[in-house]
Amino acid sequence: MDFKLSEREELLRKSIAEFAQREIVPLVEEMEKTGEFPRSLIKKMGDIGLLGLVTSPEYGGNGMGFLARAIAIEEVSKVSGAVGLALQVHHMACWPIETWGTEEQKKKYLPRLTNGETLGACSITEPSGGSDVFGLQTTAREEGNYWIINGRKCFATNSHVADVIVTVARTGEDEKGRPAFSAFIVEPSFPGFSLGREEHKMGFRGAFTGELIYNDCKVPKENLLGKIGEGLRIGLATVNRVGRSGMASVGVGLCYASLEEASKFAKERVLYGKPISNLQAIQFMLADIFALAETARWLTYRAAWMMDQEMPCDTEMTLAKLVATENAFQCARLACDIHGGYSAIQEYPVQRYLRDAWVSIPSGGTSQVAKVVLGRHVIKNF
Amino acid sequence: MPEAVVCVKPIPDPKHWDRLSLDPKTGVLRRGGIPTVINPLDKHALEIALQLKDNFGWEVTVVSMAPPETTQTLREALAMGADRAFLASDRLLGGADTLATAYTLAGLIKKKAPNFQMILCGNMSLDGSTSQVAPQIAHFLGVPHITHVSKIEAKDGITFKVTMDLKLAQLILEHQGPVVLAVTKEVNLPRLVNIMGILAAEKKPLEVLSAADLDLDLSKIGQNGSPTRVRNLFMPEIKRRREIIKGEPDEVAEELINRLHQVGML
Ligand SMILES: Cc1cc2nc3c(=O)[nH]c(=O)nc-3n(C[C@H](O)[C@H](O)[C@H](O)COP(=O)(O)OP(=O)(O)OC[C@H]3O[C@@H](n4cnc5c(N)ncnc54)[C@H](O)[C@@H]3O)c2cc1C
Repeated sequence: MDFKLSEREELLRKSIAEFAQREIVPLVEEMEKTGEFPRSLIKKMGDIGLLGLVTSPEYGGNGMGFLARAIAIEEVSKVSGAVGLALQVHHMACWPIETWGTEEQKKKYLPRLTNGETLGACSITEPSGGSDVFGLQTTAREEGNYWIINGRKCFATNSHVADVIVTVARTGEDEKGRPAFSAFIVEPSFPGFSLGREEHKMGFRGAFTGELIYNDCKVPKENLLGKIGEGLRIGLATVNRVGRSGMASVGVGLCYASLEEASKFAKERVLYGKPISNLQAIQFMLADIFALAETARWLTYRAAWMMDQEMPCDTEMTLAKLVATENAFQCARLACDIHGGYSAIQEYPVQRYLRDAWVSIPSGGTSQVAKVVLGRHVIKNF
Repeated sequence: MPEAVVCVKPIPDPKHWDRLSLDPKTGVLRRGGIPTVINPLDKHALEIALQLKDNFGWEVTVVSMAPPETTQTLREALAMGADRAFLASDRLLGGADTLATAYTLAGLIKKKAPNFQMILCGNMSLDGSTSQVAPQIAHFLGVPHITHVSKIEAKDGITFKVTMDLKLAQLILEHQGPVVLAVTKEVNLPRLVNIMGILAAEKKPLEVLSAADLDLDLSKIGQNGSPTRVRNLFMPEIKRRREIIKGEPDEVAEELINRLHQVGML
């Protein structure tokens, strides 16, 4: 067992932290105000290599892998959970295209997704089904050289910036009579596609979350991703392995952001003639934040590392996601406690961490759904 | 292709200097596990070399004298785009003052990059702040030097227009031929390391050399070869003072003004 990060990973952390300070920090205030994703950032994220972390070099990525991705998303999320979310969902478009796509699909879409031309989206959730995937109503039927998609997707991250959307729709029934789904790669320029509402969220402000509407949307046949009927497998694998590990890393970033702000404030705030960091009650809260943050980080790194080793890791991903997002909220709560009344004031970022952490919990699957998965695992294995 | 040599010094990360302390007995700096980074000004020096590489195809060599565990900072320079790095690292080199450091770096450059066209340094290191090493390197190599460089225009890659910023005056010099330049932070904005650079850096040569490898005169290196010694290193104590001036309001005001004059505040 080796818990030491390599020189490569340490250097990655350092360079992404510098990138985040230089390129993202100055945008945060505006993102909070407008709720819009700063498009100018996409090219910069491409240039630094963030967009190509899980894409092979032959398709324009750097293929550094999932542990590297965990570190990078963590560093980004330390300064902006919203950019962390947008980035992690972007990878949820890259990964299934490389894993299940045809050579033509990979050559067509992956270079655009890695060089900073555009972001990707992965849109599965519908008003009728978030946790309940069999409740998805969107349909696709074959017609000539096209698939005709009808339906409405909601909660799609990057909805209003993405030019490449991986989506899932019903294409029939399986042998047991259950709905069968297929996955598709959709471009917003396809006829019959339109953008719906853009949600105004309490957290992750500056990451787009919105509706995608398919109204007899004509998707060329060659844009079927994987085989007919494989859509649920593709969608769930993407959510489990890329989405959950990504959300876990956003959570870890928020945990450490809270830790740093809490410690800084405790050392600066003077009461009774001394910094409040001298009070043991404050030290206890700092210790709690530290323990929550470290737990989240190492569960997340383990899951990501297992993914890099091509080990089965759905359980570990779910565990990391559950713990990291719940811990992010607790860390932010404690950091706010330490800030007293100042936690209510927008100049202090802890209130943003609290809002972001809250929204991170349902993103990528609620905690209850994670516990359903983990509970089943326990009953089966212990 | 012409070659630029960039001198890089690993220093304790200035972001964590609140964690630095001095051992009151020995006067030795306690680093307390602070991470090591490239001296910030050296990154500006490296950026100049990398622009010469981008625009005129120069080769970029990074040199340093430091303990062996600092190779990661050199790897970072390679990740920014330098072609190769040499680290002089040896117990015999420890405790060097600026002259012994410059002698060692000059020896390293003579050995590994004798055909350099330009040597680039930061105008000073943030932890030492002497600004002596760059001119001393120039002395040992017998080439001219320009310090406080705030602007460089590489017209054709052969003639350089260099601005020396002396705060009260600016000197604009035109230069050709081998030279040592020491740059200020105004000179440019260093590029960020990107992930492709990190991966590429792993395949670039990074060689660690001992004093013996460099054919140095052993009487001129390390602590024994250093003509200067730090006699005492201390943290200045900054204390607040409080004094209550008593009397009638007019008198108090007058006395206050006198006192402020005395301490040079007015
Ligand atoms: C900021 C944000 C970004 C998102 N980005 C994306 C995206 O990019 N792509 C995408 O497809 N989706 C995205 N989502 C959607 C997200 O995946 C869903 O919100 C999530 O799966 C929950 O679905 P729901 O909101 O419909 O809640 P519901 O499924 O309606 O859940 C309601 C309640 O029922 C509970 N519940 C449901 N089923 C069970 C069960 N079996 N046992 C116990 N309790 C249960 C839930 O835990 C919850 O408490 C995003 C969500 C957010 C908030």
